Amino acid sequence: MIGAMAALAAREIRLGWTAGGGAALPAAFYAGAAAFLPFAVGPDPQLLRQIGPGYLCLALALAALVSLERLFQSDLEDGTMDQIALSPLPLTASVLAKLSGQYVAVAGPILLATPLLGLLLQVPPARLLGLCAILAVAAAAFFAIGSIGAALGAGVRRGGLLVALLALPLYAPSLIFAAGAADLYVREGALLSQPFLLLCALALFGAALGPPAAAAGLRLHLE
Amino acid sequence: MFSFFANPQRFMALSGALLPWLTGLAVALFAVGLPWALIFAPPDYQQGDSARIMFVHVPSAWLASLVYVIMAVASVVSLVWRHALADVAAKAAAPLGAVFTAGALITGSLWGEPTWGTWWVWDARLTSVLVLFFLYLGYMALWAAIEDEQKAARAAAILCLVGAINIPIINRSVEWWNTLHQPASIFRAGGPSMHESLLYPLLVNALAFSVAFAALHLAAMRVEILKRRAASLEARLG
Repeated sequence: MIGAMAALAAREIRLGWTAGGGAALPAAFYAGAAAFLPFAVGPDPQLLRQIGPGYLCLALALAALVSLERLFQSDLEDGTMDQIALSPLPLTASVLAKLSGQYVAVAGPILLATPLLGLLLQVPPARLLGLCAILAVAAAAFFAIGSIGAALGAGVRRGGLLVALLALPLYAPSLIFAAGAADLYVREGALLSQPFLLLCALALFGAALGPPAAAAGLRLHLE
Repeated sequence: MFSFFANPQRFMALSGALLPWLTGLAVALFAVGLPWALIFAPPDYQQGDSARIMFVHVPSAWLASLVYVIMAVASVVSLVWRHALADVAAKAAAPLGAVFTAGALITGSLWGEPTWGTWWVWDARLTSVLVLFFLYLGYMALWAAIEDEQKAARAAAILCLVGAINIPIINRSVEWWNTLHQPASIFRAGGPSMHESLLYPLLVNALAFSVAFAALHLAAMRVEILKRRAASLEARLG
């Protein structure tokens, strides 16, 4: 079972990174959103330092939202999802495997870009790595919780915005704790703070709730 | 009892008989409650007449959450027992819940301007109600987006339950966030507990809102059932 899940996850990564896979697009979106912040609020370093970490969390949430549509949509359209559902692997496990693959393929580049963008937004260099750790956990929470919306909206034509609308309210707690943790860490250097631990709890909660709910949603579109 | 009411025919007969009575009761309650609240109840000793918006605001806010609970219960029944009427009930409740939520937000905003001096504060309660409004919007959008009625019903039920599980987490997280960013200075500390002269009209209005919701919900369910019947007739006739 682990082998099958690993194969599914690896397939997801390979598909994302071959030509036309588009796994780098959310990272480009994220980088653009972060780099354009000073155009909107002004280049004042003091202000950027103050709002930068929280804004990166918001940009991450939005980048996760726009990447959700591709999670199940194309596999449903070309029939791969039917094959996955027919395999002896439980659908919940398949969803978890696909989700992990997507996480590596899509969130990986985002996290790689984060130190650079953090520098642009005046995050002290010594705090960049810890900020990446917080964003990595936040991305896990966003992907896991968002997978439910992605599954429910997958069978819908032009479902991208629908998926975003479904997942958005569910993102509120993760965004609050991610921004709280990032802000606290960048200002005071406390990584294992209360909001960070709560964010970890939300990521675990999402990993437990997301795959079975997403599998139930996918089954509707497979019938 | 479930299977007894699962028959749409029986439901139509029963609800048809019940609806005029419920409507009449709602009108009567409003006829008592609104003048009592808006004219005869004494003005608030601090806020004057502006506090009267409470008699509309508080019942709306109560119903905004109550309707979501009703939707969640209907969604469980629809998912577990494939009850024919449960998804009709959930679908018909959503727009009403969204309107009550919007009403609570708008009246709260109108009330906030004269008393707090601002149309909007990122207070924990306001924020959770705003998120609830987005949950309603997503729920209705999902119903509208999926053409197959059966599929839409089950997808919406899953979404509704996921939302119901998340609502307590959202409320808690928003509370945490708010207490971190700003002290609760806006609400008068230990504000005056409500006097009977204000409490009774409030309760009458809350009852009026609830009965009005029940009547509107029944009517919306009947419309939905008739719509489905018409659609299936149309399909049969080609």
